[in-house]
Amino acid sequence: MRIPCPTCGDRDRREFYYVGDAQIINRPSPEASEDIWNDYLHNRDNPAGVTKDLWYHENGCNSWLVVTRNTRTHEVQHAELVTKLKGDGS
Amino acid sequence: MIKLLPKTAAAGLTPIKISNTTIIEIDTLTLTSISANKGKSEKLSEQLKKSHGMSLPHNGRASGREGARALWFGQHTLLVGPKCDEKLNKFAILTDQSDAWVVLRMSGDLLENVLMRLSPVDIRLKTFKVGSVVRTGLLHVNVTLHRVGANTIDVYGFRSMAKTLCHELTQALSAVAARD
Repeated sequence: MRIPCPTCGDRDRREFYYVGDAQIINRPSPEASEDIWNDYLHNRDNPAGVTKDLWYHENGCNSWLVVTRNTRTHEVQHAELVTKLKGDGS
Repeated sequence: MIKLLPKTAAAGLTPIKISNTTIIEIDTLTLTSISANKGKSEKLSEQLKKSHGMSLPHNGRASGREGARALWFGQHTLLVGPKCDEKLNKFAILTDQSDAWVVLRMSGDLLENVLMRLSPVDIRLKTFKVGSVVRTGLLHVNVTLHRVGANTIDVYGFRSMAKTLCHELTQALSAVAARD
């Protein structure tokens, strides 16, 4: 399995650390209701098809990536920098 | 107070020579991490050219020459060699990293086969051209590899991992040499 890191190019899975569902980057506000926080912390979708995961390129450029993949075909479709998605990048 | 002697990162571990392939430590370098401020990459590149004679490197490349180089270092740039010009401060965050890294220079015919055993990237000399830089793993150690010459690659590793790096490289070198 290879992940197309936006800074390094196609790299072997061994260079990356898997974190989990990409929704973890969308942290609710501290004032949000308990239901919203409960959902954020504990509930995950388990789709048969396209899903997004958070990965860390620990043996490479040290970027956090949101990787789009298909659980049905195992195809890795796309990877994007979290800094870009969040608008914090330069 | 007792007078303390400075020790290099790979003191007592190098030089290593197996078959015609050698590993030596390069311990005379000043290393500075250069992290561009938001939106200032172009200005930084111009200033780097004025101060040290090279532009910012492209992804996966090094710029400059022996003695004054800039290495692509993932999300930042590593200035290798000269003491960093303070003027770069205007466009970037500068951090002195000189004692944080061990730099090993590997030369010889077994280079390619040894690194191919240890890293999950394509390090064949026909694809990993002179001037290329890659950040990857060497077994479990994070490294940055820079091809500096026809048969020479510099390995940058964390200073704390110097002993492990030398050990892994020696093991792989012996195993590859034994096959010849």
